Amino acid sequence: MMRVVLFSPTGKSLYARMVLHLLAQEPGVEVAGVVIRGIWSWRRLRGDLRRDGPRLMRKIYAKLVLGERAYAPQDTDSLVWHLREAGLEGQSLKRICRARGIACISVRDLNSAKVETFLKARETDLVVFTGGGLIRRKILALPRLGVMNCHAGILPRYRGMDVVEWAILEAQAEPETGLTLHFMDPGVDTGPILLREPVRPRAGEDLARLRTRMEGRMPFLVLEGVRGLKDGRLQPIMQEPEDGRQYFVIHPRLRCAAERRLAAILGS
Amino acid sequence: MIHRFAGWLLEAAARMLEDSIPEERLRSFLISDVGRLLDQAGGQADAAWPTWADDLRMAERLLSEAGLWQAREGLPEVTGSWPRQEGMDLERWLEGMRNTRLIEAGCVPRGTAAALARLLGGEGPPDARKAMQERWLPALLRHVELKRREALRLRPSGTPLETWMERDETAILFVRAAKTWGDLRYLNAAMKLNDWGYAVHRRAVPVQLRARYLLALAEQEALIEAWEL
Repeated sequence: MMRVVLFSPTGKSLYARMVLHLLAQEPGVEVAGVVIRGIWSWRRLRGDLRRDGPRLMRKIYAKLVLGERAYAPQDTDSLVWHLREAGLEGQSLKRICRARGIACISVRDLNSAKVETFLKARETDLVVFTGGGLIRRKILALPRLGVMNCHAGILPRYRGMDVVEWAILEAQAEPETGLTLHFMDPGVDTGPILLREPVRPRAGEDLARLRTRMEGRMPFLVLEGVRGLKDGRLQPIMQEPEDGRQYFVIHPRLRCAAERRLAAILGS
Repeated sequence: MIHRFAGWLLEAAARMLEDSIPEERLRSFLISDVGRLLDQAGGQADAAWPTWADDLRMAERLLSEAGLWQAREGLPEVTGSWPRQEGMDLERWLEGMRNTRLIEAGCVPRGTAAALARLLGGEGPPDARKAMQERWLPALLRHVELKRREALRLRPSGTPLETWMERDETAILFVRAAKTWGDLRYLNAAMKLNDWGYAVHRRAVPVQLRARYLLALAEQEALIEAWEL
């Protein structure tokens, strides 16, 4: 039995809820616990604000205020659609955990001593990370297999932030957009790669729509990765630092340029 | 109802925090100020052609090549491609880098942008040019992206004028690195530096600082036009 602990950035994360649902049903996998990072911390808010600027406000609005309401109800590719299909609409992670008898703790920081103790006590094989900031070396070293993350870009080439936009801006023809499942290491998206799934733009799509579709695929790629590790079919492939570049938050004017470029690529 | 109110409140906060300058405002500031300052410089006797006006001539040339400006006739020609640096000595800068890292305690050595630009332009020994490409410029990019408005403090410490001068020159350096290597990440960082500088430079600042900022903006806008972004 593979013992998995889930890290979630908030108590209502759609992505974390869907991953939890899929893993809890998976034979040979035991969800040994869920760790939820608390939302409010001035220090973190300051750091996020410095990195994201005004985007942070829009992110708070979409993720925390609107939540499921941020998605079009008829969008069959979205996370909300999958949650609804699973009968999990409107439920918090804590409620899902209670219903299934899964241990769940809330912490201010995913790197805290409380998390260390939690992982050790559960003899964790694997941590599935669904967001919540940087994870320090001491936590990364605790699970037997490692900490798994799904990155919204194709690794090793596109590391870091806004890589959907960057991949479109740099594309000569078809943009190299997609998802990569990898183990986390202390670098930025530099850990060993488990799986890649191209998610190419479709006719009529804009950046937001493409991202929604990518988000919808993420829990299923995580499930595939967990299955692969459990069966021993997946072998992590190391990345070399020079295999890719780290990208940073994209300037709003370049984001608009990426949107125009996407329309041009899809229109041609 | 409450969601709508929260949305309105957060959108208002986002607008207050917005620090990127719209293209139209930036270009209008750039073109009108280059013109105004060139008028000011042109009114002086040839012998008194101020050194800061060289930056404007370079800006004018770039804007003209990009089709954003009609170049004026009869003004002194500018030689060289990098803004004039009084007392800039590449060898001394490289000597200073022997036993130290480029970024220490969030500070960069004075004259870093000018020194790296000269290396980027092909000057200096091959090992220094290799270090510039593989270590120094990537480290500077990362520093600016992570420290943002707190980036590029000087060591030894400098006046606000000197610090802003270094930031403007770093923006110029980044645009040229983007152009040389076809790497959009450097243009991205230059655009942020120029946005953060806008609020400072549009106020009454010494004319040599304003001229260097205008050159940084002209380099940026010319590349954006050339790459059709």
